Amino acid sequence: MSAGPNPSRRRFLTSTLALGVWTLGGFPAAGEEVKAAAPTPATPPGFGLWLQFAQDGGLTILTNAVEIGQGTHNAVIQIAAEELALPFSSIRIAQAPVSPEFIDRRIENYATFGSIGFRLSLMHLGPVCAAARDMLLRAAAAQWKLAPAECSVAEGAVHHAASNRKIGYRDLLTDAALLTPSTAVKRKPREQWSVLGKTAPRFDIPPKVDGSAVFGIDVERPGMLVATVLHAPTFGGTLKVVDERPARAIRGVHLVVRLPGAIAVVADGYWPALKGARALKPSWMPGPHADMDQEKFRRRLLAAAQQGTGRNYTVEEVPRTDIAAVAKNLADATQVIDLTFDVPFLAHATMEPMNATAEVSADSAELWLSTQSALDTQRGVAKALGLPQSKVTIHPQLAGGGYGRRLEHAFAVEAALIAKAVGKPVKLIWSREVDMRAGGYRPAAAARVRMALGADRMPTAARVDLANPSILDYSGVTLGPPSPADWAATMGWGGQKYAIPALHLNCTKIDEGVPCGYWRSVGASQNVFFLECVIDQAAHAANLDPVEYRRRLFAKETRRLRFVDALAERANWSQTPAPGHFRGMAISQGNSAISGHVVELSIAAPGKFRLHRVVAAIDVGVIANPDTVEAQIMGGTLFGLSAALFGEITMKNGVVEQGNFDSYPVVKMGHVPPMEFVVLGNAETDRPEGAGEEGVASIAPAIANALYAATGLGVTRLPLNRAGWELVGPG
Amino acid sequence: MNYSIMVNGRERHVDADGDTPLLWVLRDNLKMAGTKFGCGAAQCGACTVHLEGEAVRSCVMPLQAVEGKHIVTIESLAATPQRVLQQEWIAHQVPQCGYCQSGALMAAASLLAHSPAPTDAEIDAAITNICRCGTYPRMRAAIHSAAQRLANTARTA
Repeated sequence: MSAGPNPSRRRFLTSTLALGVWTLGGFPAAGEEVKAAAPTPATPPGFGLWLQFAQDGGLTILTNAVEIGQGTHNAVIQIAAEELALPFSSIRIAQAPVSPEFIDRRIENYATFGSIGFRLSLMHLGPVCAAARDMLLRAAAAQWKLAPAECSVAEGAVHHAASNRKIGYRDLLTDAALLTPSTAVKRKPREQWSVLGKTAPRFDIPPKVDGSAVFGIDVERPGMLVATVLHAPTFGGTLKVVDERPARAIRGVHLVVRLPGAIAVVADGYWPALKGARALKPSWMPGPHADMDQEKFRRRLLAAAQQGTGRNYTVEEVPRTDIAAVAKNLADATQVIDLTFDVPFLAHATMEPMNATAEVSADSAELWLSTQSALDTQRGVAKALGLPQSKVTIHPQLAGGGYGRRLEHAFAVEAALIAKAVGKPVKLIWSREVDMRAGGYRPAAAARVRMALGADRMPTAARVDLANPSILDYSGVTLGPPSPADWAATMGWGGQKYAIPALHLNCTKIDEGVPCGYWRSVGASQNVFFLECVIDQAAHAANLDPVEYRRRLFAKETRRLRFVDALAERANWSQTPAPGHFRGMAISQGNSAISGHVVELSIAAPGKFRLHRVVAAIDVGVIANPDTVEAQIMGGTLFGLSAALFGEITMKNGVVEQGNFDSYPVVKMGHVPPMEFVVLGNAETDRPEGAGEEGVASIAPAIANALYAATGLGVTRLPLNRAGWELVGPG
Repeated sequence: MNYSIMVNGRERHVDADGDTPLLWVLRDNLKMAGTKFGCGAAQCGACTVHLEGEAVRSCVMPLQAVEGKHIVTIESLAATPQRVLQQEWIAHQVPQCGYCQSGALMAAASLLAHSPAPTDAEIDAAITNICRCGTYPRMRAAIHSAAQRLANTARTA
């Protein structure tokens, strides 16, 4: 889902020295014709100035990735430390301005999503850092009248070992800045890494343990007021009438602002704003979706999945698509596994509720917010205010969780409109209830999977009839050119490499106005559940162990075989479990990384199970920081476990029934089973494949498969408590 | 109305309505942003502070109920013996996004002050804070490490 590079753009490296600061940047792309250019004031878009060396030799590296807990900022510092042989203490990272020269050229956006932060950073910042290293070497070599190849870098200095001389970077900056940057310099090969690939304590952690880390919600601006909003209780509802006086009568409330679909109360602080909002008794027009009902919607999804008369995906959209072959193989099959599944809407429930701080004047606007989509936010705010995009300045902040929720920017537009109405800086904070009910959900979905099995009970085809609303109808983030297909609905099917010779994916869009968005692992979050449960039922039909079945299905996929073996071995799969214990495996192939789980559970009582052990494994290809990868697979597992056990957003009479954590429960410390982690890299790929979305999708099917092994009954519905299963604690 | 509260050892004067939750007194009146807003309904624990030595959820603790009382926030945890928790949080690389961690640390500090060698079951019962990033296993390990270090300190004292 990334946009390819535009071949008509030339790539340049630029180098400037001003006020003692040497600034270097650009985007050399491997395999492209590039020309090193002298510094020019007219820098083409996308060729930002990423490295700034201060006079003392310290480095500030800019990034267009945001830190949402996934550790990407630390990985960027590791890249700089690796290429430039600088100690961590000499490097700081700063958020790049949200302007054209800092857009990432691969995704044509300034956004953080899809587990691609480290990959893009390595691809784009790595060569820039390498070019800077090259210029420092050349500068020192020129002073010493040596060839650069005779010199090396270490500890922030250029060394000539043979003569035991060194010059610190601070004494080379002026000379280096005058050299023409070379784009022929490659970043260090992975075999020579001494910083990347090793655990490096994260620089962002100490401020997070002493209360000093500043999140978007913590931003303070002089003269700032605070606002909160009420939204129409039904999606698409609008305000009919409201008497503002009860809000304005609250001490500390300044005014009430009406927005499309919302009422804002602006006050000295959050508490008076909230009291003001609670004092209002607005009448709302219900809008077209006021009879949205969860059970009726679920039945619509299931009926559509049964019928399978939606849009067929093409072979360009889903590899191995062959509709005729699937029909034939289903007709000729020795056995057909025919299962229908359904899953609910899910909220992200980031711990930091949506918020944004805005200052708006007649001809400009400035916003501070936790966001994953700074450029789309800038565009959306500019449009709402009727300003040129260049007049809107966005300051992305440290985010208290993203998980894809912060790819949307409706709350930023609200903040900007409120600030414009008020004429003062305004911090808008959504209450937890408003946040929970504002949409952006992982779509509810149903799927009918028909897997044709041959005489040997191996798959000959799979037909997948999906039914769901489309994220693409609602999301405000630009991830690529407009697409006729709901590609998100296929994630987990398109990239899987099981030996299923022919696929037929079909999707019927069922929409009743519930806004949907990207939820950590996106379409894989439902499709891995569907696929991995079917695989286990096919294994049962083949009278084969589910791990052995997967081994056969991965016949020639050496990387996947190695992964399955590593996971199975750590989980002691080949050893008989303790009496009453049952195991289940599930693999996620939703993104480029491979991840999966083996869970071991026992049935404590009818409808109650106990988790004895969860082994989580991940292969991300190239690892920046092994500790961070472990943290991500740990976190992804627990994020997915919440959804697996209880996660659901439901609607009755058009109103979301959940509001706070009492009605939308999530996993707490007491739910956490004994966990072990297997973190694998892969020497054969040069690509970091990202860990941010792994672990989420495979925990539910791993549990479902273990329950299937225990009871002979498949789980075809999530959350588990709707399927009649409750997790109980240690006995 | 004017209220006087003790925050981190200092007397602070606040002009706010008596029903203002301590969370918003800290954040909006005193500009102390270390204590976080997560739910406003005592469901998540992000707002945990110590009131007279006990962990409380400040989002439902009205100002008039804490007048004259001693409050300790995350900003002052380092001044207590439980700073060891902060060190172990770093050693175990606990935080991911970090937003819930102030509240979790204050809850853990209170636990260790009352229960110097907590079992896993005691930790589960005391730390009901929500972490959406899923750092619970590392929180638990850090609590055990901190408890061990505090016990060693006590033994050698």
